[in-house]
Amino acid sequence: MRHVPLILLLAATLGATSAPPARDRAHTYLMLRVVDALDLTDDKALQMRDILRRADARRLALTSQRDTLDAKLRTALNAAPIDSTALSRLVADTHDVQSQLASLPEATFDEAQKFLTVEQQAKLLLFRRELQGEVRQAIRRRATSGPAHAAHPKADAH
Amino acid sequence: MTSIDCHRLRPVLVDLAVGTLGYQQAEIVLAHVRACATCRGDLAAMRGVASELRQPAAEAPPDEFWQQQRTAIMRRIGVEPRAERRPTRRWAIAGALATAALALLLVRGHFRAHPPAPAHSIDRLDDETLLHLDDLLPALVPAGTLDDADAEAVAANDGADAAVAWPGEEPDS
Repeated sequence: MRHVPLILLLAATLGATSAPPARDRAHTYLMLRVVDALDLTDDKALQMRDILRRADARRLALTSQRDTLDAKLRTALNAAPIDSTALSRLVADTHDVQSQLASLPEATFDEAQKFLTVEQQAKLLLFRRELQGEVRQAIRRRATSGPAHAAHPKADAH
Repeated sequence: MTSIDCHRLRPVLVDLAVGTLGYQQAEIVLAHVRACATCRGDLAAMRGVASELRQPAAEAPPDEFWQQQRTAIMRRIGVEPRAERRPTRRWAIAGALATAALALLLVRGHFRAHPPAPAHSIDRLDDETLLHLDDLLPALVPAGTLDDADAEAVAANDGADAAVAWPGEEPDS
């Protein structure tokens, strides 16, 4: 918790553009956990913030592209007759976007690796899995304990 | 009137004030008092005190007051008073201990049922933030590890639940 003032400042600017408050809070929480788990200094926390900000922006852009391409794929598949050339191009584009999405965490890690110590890299590898497990478990717990999340698709995802 | 008269009559001035002086002596003293302003003032003051003393006595202090006085005096003179073992005090202590034990059990039960979340616990996040965090993590966590992490979290949580045993119960192995 020694970096809390800095982290709060970082997080406040992280999604300060037009992000909803809940997204800002998610960024804040993620930064708090990362800084604590890796025991980052202030300058490394700043670098990590930039990496996560870029990664999240990239993720949002790719997700949006993927959704658009998914819709086009469905439309193309429902067309009669099917335009193989157009569909082939859509498949290539969609596959490319999905590949980029899949490689995003590793791209994030590669960037972080440039300034993290080996010990911090090891902690990051462990931390990201642990945090993912915590989040999924928390969502499941809340989904089963009440109807508050029933309307959200993630609540029933697993 | 000389100061010698005042000095001579002063001892009986008190008797005059409280009304215990004989008639003849009273006449002599009163003659002096009428002539002596100092003794007149003293007599008036003594009569005031006498009057106060005749008033109904103030409410007697409780036994505990006298007991404390006695203890204080004994300590002052270097004699340690014997500790009085009052049954009511023992019962009061026993009652207080029983109450504390009951409160401890209740509090312990409460925290067992609702363990306090650590400062960074995911449970402190509101629902919407938690879901945003879940959306955010794919930028950090490879997709291939998601199911593993999820399963491990479930196992760890189940293990933690099993490790909590109520009094008289054995934790699950």
